[in-house]
Amino acid sequence: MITWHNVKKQLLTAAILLICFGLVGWGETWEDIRRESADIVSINAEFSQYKHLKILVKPLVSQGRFYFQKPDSIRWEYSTPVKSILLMHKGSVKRYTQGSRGLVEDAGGALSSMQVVVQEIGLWSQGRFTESDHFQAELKGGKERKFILTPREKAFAAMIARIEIIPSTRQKGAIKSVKIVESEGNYTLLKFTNVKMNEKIAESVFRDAS
Amino acid sequence: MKRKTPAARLFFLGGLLVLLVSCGHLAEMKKLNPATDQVLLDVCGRPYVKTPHRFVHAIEATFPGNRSATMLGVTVVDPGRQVLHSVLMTLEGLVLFDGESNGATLSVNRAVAPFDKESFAQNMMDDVRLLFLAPASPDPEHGVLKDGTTLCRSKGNTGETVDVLIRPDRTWKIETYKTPSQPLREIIASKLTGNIPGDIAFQGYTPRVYTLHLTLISAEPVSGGSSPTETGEETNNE
Repeated sequence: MITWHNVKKQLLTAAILLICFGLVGWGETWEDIRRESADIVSINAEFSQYKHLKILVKPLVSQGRFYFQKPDSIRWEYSTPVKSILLMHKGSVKRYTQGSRGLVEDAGGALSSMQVVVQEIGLWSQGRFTESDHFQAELKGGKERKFILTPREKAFAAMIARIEIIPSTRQKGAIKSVKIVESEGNYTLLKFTNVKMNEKIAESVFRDAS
Repeated sequence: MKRKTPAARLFFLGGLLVLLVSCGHLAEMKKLNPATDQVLLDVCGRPYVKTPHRFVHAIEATFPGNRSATMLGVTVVDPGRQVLHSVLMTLEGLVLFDGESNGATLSVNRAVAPFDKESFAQNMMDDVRLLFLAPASPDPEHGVLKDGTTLCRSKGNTGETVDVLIRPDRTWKIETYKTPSQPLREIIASKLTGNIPGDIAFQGYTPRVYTLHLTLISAEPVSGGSSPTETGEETNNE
């Protein structure tokens, strides 16, 4: 039987759980965030990318997986709609894309802009939001905490207006979503799920595209 | 008798080859009359959408030196108003080019280097127009090739010849050229669903040689009344 006492008890339990999850989240200052992220050695997560454009009624969805290994190894892999793998390991950045000739390495061009974004992801994964050469970081509180990154350089600002990062309230050091705003109505939203931290990742994951 | 030099012989053979290739298109051509030839005009217009549509493609571009890059392209086509809106972006979603064209005017909403040259915008929107909108010239000529392919010939905006070839299996090919030996563009469409190709091979010959391979990701009619709640998959639950 549902009684007011039971409802109150359930509400109290829910509130305590919510507070506990909140406490597990990120610190209040950049220093706290850096300290808490220092324990992160590796990340393995799935992501969904929602591309919003004014000419699209619903976003264009891409999906894939993200691997990070301290200090700066990254594998950013799309499985749909086009298989593509970006590898960053020991100072080299390579991208492979599935095309009519199979999975082949991309040449030049678009890699440079993405290289910057990937380097940023490496920094964010370690809580080092304020150490970027390309973005100025601002910590915003309120109902949902946000890290706002704005480009320092004019050339970069022509491509990206700002980046909004929402930290996870459940997993310390984990990022819930990243919103890359290009212009009004045009933005990319990255949402991370099934985030696994500090699990062993083989070096070949960052070295080999296959 | 004067003997031909090897160079002259080669030139003669080359000329013969060009003639033979162009003869492949030889058919008895008849000017179509909209009043009496609507069925044939419909066949000629088969490669083009009749109502506003939105297309999303994966585009693999290959340039001289075997350099290649893969991008995503979104195009909204409104055949009634002859309006095109195209966005080209990286797989990561960074918009490289955003342009609109109504045939007479071209406006660029965003262009990032190396896609920020005016000539690129014009050439790209011309290519998109060739792909999605029927040539503006009225009353094309029509003929049937020996293999049963339907040939529809018309003039493009800049005086080039536009040949639309509809094969018996309903796949199609578009060729544009100044003369048969001066090709401009060649488009081969295959893997049709209805009349919409799942695969398009696009070959450009000017201003430089390039190849585009378009794989269809989605095609949908644009009604203008779609609900914004379609974005509902983005729940904020962790």
